[in-house]
Amino acid sequence: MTKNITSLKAKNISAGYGEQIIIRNINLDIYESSITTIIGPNGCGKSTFLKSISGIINPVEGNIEIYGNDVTNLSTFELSKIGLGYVPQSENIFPSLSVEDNLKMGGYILNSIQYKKNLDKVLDMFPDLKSKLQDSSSNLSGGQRQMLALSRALMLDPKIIMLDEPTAGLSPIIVDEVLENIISLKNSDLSVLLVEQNAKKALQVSDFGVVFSFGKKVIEDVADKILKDKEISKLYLGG
Amino acid sequence: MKYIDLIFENKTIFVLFWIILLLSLLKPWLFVNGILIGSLYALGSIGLSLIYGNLKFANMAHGDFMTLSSYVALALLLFFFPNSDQSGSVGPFTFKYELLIVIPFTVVFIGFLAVLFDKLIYKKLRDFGAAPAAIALTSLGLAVGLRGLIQFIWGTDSTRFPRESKLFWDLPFKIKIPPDMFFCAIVAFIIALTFYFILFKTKLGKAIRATSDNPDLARITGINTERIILYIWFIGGVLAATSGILISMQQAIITPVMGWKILIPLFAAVIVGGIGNPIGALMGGLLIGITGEIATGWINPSYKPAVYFLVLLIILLLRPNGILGSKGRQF
Repeated sequence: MTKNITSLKAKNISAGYGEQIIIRNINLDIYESSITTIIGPNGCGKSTFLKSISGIINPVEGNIEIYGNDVTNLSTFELSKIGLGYVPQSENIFPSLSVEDNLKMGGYILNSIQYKKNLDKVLDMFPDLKSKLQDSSSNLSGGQRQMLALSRALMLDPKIIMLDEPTAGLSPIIVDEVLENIISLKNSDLSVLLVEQNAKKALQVSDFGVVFSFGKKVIEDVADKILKDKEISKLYLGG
Repeated sequence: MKYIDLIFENKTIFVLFWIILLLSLLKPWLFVNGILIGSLYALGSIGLSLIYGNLKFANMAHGDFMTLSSYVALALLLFFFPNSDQSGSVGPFTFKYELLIVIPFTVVFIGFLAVLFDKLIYKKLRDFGAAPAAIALTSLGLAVGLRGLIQFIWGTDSTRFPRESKLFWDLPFKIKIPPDMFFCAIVAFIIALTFYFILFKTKLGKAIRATSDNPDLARITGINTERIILYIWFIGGVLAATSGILISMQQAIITPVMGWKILIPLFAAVIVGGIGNPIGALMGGLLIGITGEIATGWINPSYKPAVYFLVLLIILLLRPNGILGSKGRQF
């Protein structure tokens, strides 16, 4: 099912906003070429965990390793350079820029040859964006925005990608499309860390599942097992 | 084209546009003066708007940077060219060649000074997570400090660049243009166009706009936003310095409070154009300049600030986010 190489290791992470600690002592390993989905009720700290990994908020405690290297104190833009991609839940595109300029910003640190190569690769993955390159990104539909956000994050050829509720507010058909794209990311050897409210669907495409509750990791297991567990299903998957 | 459409999309703006046009036809010389003065306001307000758009605070020290640039230019002129008052002036203009030599050095110096202040003051406030209002008040403190420094070094009296008297250009319809004012307006337009090019056509400009849209997302995409902020301060400083020197060249006089006084029309221009939108600031600057000058055809010029705020009030009642401003968008 998955290779056993740990791409991202979160050790004892506690983080929050100002004085308020939202997540406490989270330990989590993410593996190469796998999808790990974090589920849990609203406000349990799923997004805060992703923000603390990406450096948007600094953990008050704990360490983060990427392929064995300690990256705890690296800034957000340095983390993106070493292969950590992140698509936030909302406001995940630059609305004042065109679609093409959003992708250009995604590849801001690339030279022109590498940029062109990665642009072609991303547009092959999301061909719908090809005809919209000159359009203002603020005019895109919800699904197209998610595609653009994902494409922007892929421009730097990340090794690990974190997606915060990529299917939020999308129609069922588009949700399936987005999840298919996420599977194709895994198949191209990326480690995917997914936070989803659409828990059942997300776990169906995942290798591992993690359940957060009140800022703590309460369950971590193979996704199939979580889906089949009646108790978990009742508590966190809507029965 | 989309900017012109704005005039026609709202009936009241459409009526205002025709009133201004009609009054301009009655006294065209005031309209021309308005464009020339408005271009200088536009240049100052573009810098102010750029900083607001990205750093989300009203930089109260912008006007005093403009004043400082005029005094630094004068000091450099007198230091390196002590006999410049005996040399000839540039073509039809009143200023001397030597002034054109010191301007680029002054502008770059003020740009770096703005960067230095960011490193010494504003970056620390950002790191502390200070609220925009607190940062704006700090900039007010910096403004007062800079003004005090100017008065301490150069005194409280007014002063002027070495110059030579020249005739105004006489044009049809009683239009009289001081050549210096024309020069300053042309330079202002060229710099505004250059800035537009940088902002919309270069990678750096797009990164500035991306940072303005969403700094966290910009960092996630690999943009070093702290470096972008330094570029913004440098560009803001350069624009403030250029407009400060051009305004003092055009007014032929420098006073320690000139920048502070000009901050009123500049803020009016920024708000009218749409806070944080440099193109809006350009339009706002021109609108404020034109309406202010046209008003002097019928009312005492000392009421000009009241006209600026009347325009501001009307525009905000019609478009609460300014001419080009819209919620959540900066450019």
